Amino acid sequence: MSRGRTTGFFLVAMTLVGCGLDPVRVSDRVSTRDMLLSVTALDDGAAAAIDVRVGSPIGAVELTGGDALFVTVDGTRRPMAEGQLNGAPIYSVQLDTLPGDFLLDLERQDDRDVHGVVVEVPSPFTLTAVGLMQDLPLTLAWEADPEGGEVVVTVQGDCIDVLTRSLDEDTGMLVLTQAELRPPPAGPPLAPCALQVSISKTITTRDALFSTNPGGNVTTSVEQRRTIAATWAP
Amino acid sequence: MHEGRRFIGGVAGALALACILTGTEAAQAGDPSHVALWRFDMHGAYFQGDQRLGAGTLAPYNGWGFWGRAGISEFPWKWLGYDVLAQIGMVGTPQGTFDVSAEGAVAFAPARWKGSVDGSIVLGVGGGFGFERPVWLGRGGTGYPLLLGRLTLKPKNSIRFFTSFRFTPITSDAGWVRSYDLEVAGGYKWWYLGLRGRIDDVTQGDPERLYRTYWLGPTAGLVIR
Repeated sequence: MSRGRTTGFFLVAMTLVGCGLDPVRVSDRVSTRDMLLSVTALDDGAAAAIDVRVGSPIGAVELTGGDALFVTVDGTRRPMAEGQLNGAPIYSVQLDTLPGDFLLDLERQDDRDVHGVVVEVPSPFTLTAVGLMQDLPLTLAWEADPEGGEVVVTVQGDCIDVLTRSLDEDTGMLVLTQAELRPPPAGPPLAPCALQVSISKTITTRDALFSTNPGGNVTTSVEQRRTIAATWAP
Repeated sequence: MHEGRRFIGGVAGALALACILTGTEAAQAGDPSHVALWRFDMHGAYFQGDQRLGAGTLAPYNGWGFWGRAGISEFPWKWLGYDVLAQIGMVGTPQGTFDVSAEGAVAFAPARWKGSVDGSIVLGVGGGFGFERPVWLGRGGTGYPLLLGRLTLKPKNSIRFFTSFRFTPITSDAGWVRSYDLEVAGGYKWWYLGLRGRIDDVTQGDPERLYRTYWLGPTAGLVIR
């Protein structure tokens, strides 16, 4: 047998061996105890969405073989629909609102299920903004909730740099002077300027799925965000 | 009384079996059926498969290995002999680099013939000791049982073909581990070339899964006897 034929035979044999392997990143190949469930949710006052990504030691996981995610919101259990985000699978549910804590279930055909993971949701709130007339400051008010998570205030518009402020406590009120709405380096426009004012409350958690080691993890980041428009004449 | 008779019967049976296996004549040097095989070879292999990550996740991996091996299969008696094989080498994975093992077995030659193609069949039972396989199980030493078989065909005095199979099952804390090793080789006079493939299977994890590694690569060696 010539050297070329010998090399060809070896390459063909290795190809056949390789073709016998299963594809990667499907949930059939991942233990529930190795999974990282990453839950993000946002209620912006107009609509809400819950997204779940499934991670593992071998990367993002696509649920296959009958494996499925469900959320129970306000007593109603819903299956999560699969989509794609940046080339990785993502599981989503679209809602009108996030009224309170919801439950997450992962059901698997050939592995452990995960039932009743409680995902904490900040309480819904209403945002009001007054001021910015003549020399009046911008006064923001909302329903305070000491357990409502991290509070971040954001003010943005064409005539200012983005102003972001994290609050140590949920005080339910914030006063921003006009001096704090710093104009951009190019200088302020003369005409009245439209501003977007947002209050965001976010609760983040990290827990184990099981008490074993390894036991998998679930991380959650749930945000209630309210945005209103304001006008400022610098 | 009955126990005494049973003991005597057992001893007589064992002696009879020993006489059958050893025969009345020793295997001759240069025996054309060639049950004996002394060899030294070099073996390289590429491998790929799945290793376990975490509690029970199938993670693809691959690598290479390169070994030098020395083996002696000899038959002091016509039907009964021994087979030993030692190897030392390198395995190219993050988990390990050095590899060594030694195996020995009691060998039987249930079939040996002369004709247009001389040949023999050898079966063996024994054990071995070496680093754990596949390498992702860890780098501890482990003992294991061994079953082997070898078919040798010699169509001409200067041409020899042989294929050997080795099976090493291990049950340990790491789970149910077994290795299937098949080698096919053909040689001319002192030299031979072959292809060796191996499958390492490990059943373990939560959930319990099969983690399989395929090995395949060439062998080039020297037959001394």
